[in-house]
Amino acid sequence: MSEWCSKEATIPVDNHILQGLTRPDLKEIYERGLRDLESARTLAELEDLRVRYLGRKAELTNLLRSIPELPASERPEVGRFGNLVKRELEQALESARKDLEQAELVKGLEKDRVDVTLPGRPWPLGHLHLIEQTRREIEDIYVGMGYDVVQGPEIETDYHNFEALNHPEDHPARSLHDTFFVDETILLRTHTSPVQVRVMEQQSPPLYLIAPGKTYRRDSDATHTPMFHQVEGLVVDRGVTLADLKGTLDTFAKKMFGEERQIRLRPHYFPFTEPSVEVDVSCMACNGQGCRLCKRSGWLEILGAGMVDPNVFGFVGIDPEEYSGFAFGMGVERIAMLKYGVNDLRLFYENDLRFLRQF
Amino acid sequence: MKAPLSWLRDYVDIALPPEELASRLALTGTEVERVEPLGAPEDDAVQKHFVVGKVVEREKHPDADKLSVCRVDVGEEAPRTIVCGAPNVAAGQTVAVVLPGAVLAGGMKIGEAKLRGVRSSGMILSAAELGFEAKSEGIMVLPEEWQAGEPLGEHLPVSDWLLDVEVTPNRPDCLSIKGLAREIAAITEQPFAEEQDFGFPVSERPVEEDISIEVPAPDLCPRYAARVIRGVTVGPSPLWLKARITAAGMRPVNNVVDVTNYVMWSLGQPLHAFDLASVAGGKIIVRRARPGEGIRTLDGTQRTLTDDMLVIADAEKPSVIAGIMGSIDSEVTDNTTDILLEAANFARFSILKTESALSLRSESSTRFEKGLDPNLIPPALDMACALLTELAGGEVSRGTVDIQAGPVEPWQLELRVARVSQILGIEVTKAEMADILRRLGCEVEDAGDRLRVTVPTFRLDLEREIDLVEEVVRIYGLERLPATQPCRPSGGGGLTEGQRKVRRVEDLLAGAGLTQAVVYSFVDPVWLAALRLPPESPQAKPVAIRNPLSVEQSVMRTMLLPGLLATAARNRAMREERIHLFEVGRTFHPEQPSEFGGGLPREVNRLGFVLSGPVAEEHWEEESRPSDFYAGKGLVERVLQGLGVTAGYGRTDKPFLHPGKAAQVLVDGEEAGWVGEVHPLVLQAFDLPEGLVAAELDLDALCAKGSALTVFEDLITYPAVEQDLALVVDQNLQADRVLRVVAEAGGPLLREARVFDVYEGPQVGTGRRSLALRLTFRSSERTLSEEEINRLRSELLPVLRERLGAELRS
Repeated sequence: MSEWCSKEATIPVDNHILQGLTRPDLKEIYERGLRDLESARTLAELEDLRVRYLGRKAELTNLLRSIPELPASERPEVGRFGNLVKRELEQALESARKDLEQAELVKGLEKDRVDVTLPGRPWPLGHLHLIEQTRREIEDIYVGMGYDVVQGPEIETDYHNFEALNHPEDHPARSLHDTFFVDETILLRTHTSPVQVRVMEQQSPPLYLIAPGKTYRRDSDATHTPMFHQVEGLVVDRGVTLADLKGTLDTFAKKMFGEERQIRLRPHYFPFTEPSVEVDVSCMACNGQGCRLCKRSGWLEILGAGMVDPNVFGFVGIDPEEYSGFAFGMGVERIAMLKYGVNDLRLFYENDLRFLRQF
Repeated sequence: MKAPLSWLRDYVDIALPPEELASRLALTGTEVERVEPLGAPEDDAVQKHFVVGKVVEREKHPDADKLSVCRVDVGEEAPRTIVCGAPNVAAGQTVAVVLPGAVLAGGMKIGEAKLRGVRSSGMILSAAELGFEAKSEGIMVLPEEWQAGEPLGEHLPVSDWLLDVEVTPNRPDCLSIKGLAREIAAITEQPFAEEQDFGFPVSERPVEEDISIEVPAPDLCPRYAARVIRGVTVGPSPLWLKARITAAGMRPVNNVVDVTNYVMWSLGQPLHAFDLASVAGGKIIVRRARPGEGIRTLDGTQRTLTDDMLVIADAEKPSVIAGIMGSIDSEVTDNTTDILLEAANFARFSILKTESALSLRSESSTRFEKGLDPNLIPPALDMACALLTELAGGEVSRGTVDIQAGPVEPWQLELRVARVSQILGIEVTKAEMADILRRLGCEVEDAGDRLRVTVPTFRLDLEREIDLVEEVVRIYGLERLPATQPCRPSGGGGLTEGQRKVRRVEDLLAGAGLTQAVVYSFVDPVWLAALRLPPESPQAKPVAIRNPLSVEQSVMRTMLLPGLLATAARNRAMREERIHLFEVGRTFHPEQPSEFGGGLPREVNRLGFVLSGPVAEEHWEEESRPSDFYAGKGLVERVLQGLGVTAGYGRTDKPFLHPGKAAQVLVDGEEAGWVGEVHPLVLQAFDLPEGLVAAELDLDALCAKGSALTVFEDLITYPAVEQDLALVVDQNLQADRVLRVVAEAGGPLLREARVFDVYEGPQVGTGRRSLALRLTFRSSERTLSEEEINRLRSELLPVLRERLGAELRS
């Protein structure tokens, strides 16, 4: 009884649609049909119901087919309501089919399971070398500050590598560089600084540029590789000061190593800058408190810099009374080692995939 | 340069703790590598345990042959009993005693101890135990006049600090205790004390009677001075001198050698002492070496000289390589009685060249190579004569032989006050500038808007106004500078299109699973042969390095391949299965002119990659394909597509590639690279297994080709229509040829044709293969109709039949 009641309650007997229907057989077909369709649990059951209610031999089909034989007075009612009931049942059938199809799909999906914890199919992912990644970081910082990125040859003339950078032939600073020579006047550049000279030969101030690239020195031990990477920076403009250099490098250090980093300048000597400085950044491992990395000093040397020496301007024909400038040079490996905690320089050139894949 | 604080205190009061002094020095341009305590810890509680003692009695230890039991008066009520193991201990000696409660260098604590049953309350010290020499034979015997119980520290440096400083090459004046002390005085604002005048006994004999000197090479020797000291007794140096020589990192030799080293360390002027008896003909000639002339230097090495090297010779032979090292023959020995003392100034260029030619450096040459003040010579000779006559006796012959081109006098520079702030970006007052420069030893005169600065000759590095600016800011303090930014021009900055393209290529390859390598630019010439390159090929003629570190790194690479193969082999040895590496770097081509001119070789940016092992990582569900020719070609296509470059592929006969599985990459008809499986013989040479595909592309050429800008084309309003076409052609007909004919015959509406399937087998007959093509037709003016496409397709077939012998596959 209760089942009946519930069904009764769920079947929408639309009195409005069937208003005026007097034939109990049609009304009964309609109501029973809707109830049966509602209760179908499988697509097969539903197909049986379709045949039973809407098939060629169904009661309703027969009734509609018999219209011409009915008394004229009954024909309009049977015609009108018979077709109405047929349409209603067809719609109900369609809607039941959709519901059952969806339910069966859902049921099928429930069974179609994979072990989601097994690994996915590989879409290979490679790695940029840590030197390249670091070089790009440096480039992007300076590009953001309005610098251009320029390149020069790795095999250089003695003139560009030394002489025009204020290292005359009898200058002791030359002995700081263990140089690879190709012949008397051609060598592997020992720093990226000759790019400064080449740019100043070609272009007039204002100049804001960096020059990344490979450099070579005849030195190979735990802390030196015969090839390494530098990024040179050069600014030449009216009114450029040492304080500007300090601010520029402070910005760089903060962007590269974190906002909380400080820098300090120490006087130093380079032949092509004067005044010359070495630049330290507060140790990122101990935050300047002193640890093994910074040898208890709280500071880590990151680069050399200074104001472009008037002699260098002399070589390239820039008037040092009108223009001033600063230059800096940093080792990419050094920056990468500090930033990523790499403890052996030689790892960069062993190209061991176990190292390269970490980054 | 090692500088004991006690020695620096001869010239300047140092109140700062050593660590703080080191930090001040570092921040004013003198890097301090190490600060370390020397000797016993420097505190009073320790110091009072080091005293002078008198050995009152000495007896043999009853139970030990080598030990003595001594009664030592250390100024207390009764003498102490001290057991001593030194063979030279004797009654009546004045000795150094350390009492229980003290700590020695290195942390050794002294306590009361029983030695073979005898209680010892103290220890008699050797010079080594105080760090005055490396090794001692016995205990130190002190001067008799020192009183029992006196603190030892009043006579000898029981405790000290050592600064090890790194002096930049522009500051040879700081390669001396005096120079460093002057720097310390300037930065700590302390007065600087010059030495007292040096006095010494002078004989009536004029020096010219002892020696004659000629300088036929004045260009290499601007000043040469000498004195003669007769009647010296060569012997060990006194303790204080040994202590200083040892602390400075040198080895005490004898009083004469130690004095020359001591003066060099004090003043920065190297000296050389000759045994006058060994100077043949009593004649010194400062001349260029004769070609082939030989000398056996103090380090025992026989050296052959060339005529651009300067020597100090006597009438017969060279006895010193000037400024660098003397010969064994002219060395001062224990039997020497008369000494020729040389103080000279040599051209730094010549010293540098000789040092590098002979691979020989010394404390003396490291000073000369940086350039020294010729005015150091007179005080150095005076100081040496005073010390030598004091320690070794003898008399100095009257006068000095002193040959110089012209005296070097202090010079004047002008410093514009405004210029300083222009360069520094901070205002420094004129008074501050003047004060700083005076502290550094300059004389300064106010001349209105500028300072007139007289530079002392020991500051040879101060030549220009900018040098004075640097001195001002160095001492003023870089920490006081503000951090400002230069005014950048508007709209500047950025990567060039080429730079962006290189990054894109790298990203594309990393995105395809390749890992970037960075390989040395110099390679082993053996590798070129391993690549089977014929000797006449340009790749086999690399730029050679004259002074390589090793033959394995002696030529500049002409290709990236060998370095990548070696890198792959190294990883292979580490049991890596899947080795997919790429590199972007330069190759060097001496036969082509550089864009930079100047006789430089051409440098080309190239991209190279190697693929070995499966394309993808192992997976439980599917098997990975091997890295074969088509894997490599696919990557090349990916790169070219990324650059917007279209390329053709043709066969190639590169000797390092598999003859049948390699292609050259052609862009606009020119070779822009190659891709292929590497020749098995090459792989053998590199210890790599078969089946490795590699490629190299000329990035400069490719970056120049690709279009800068993609212009919009409407592909949507009138959509493209695809048509498949399966053609049966001769097996040896290359796909490229088929596509070219299709492209020519397809008319303007055929936008693209590509091969999507290849079949060889019974269905198409022997000697034939089927290529399935997908043709894409599109008009930019209308939607193409079915009939139109069919017509285009059917018009194509007779052409293909006629030109290629192609049949439609049924």
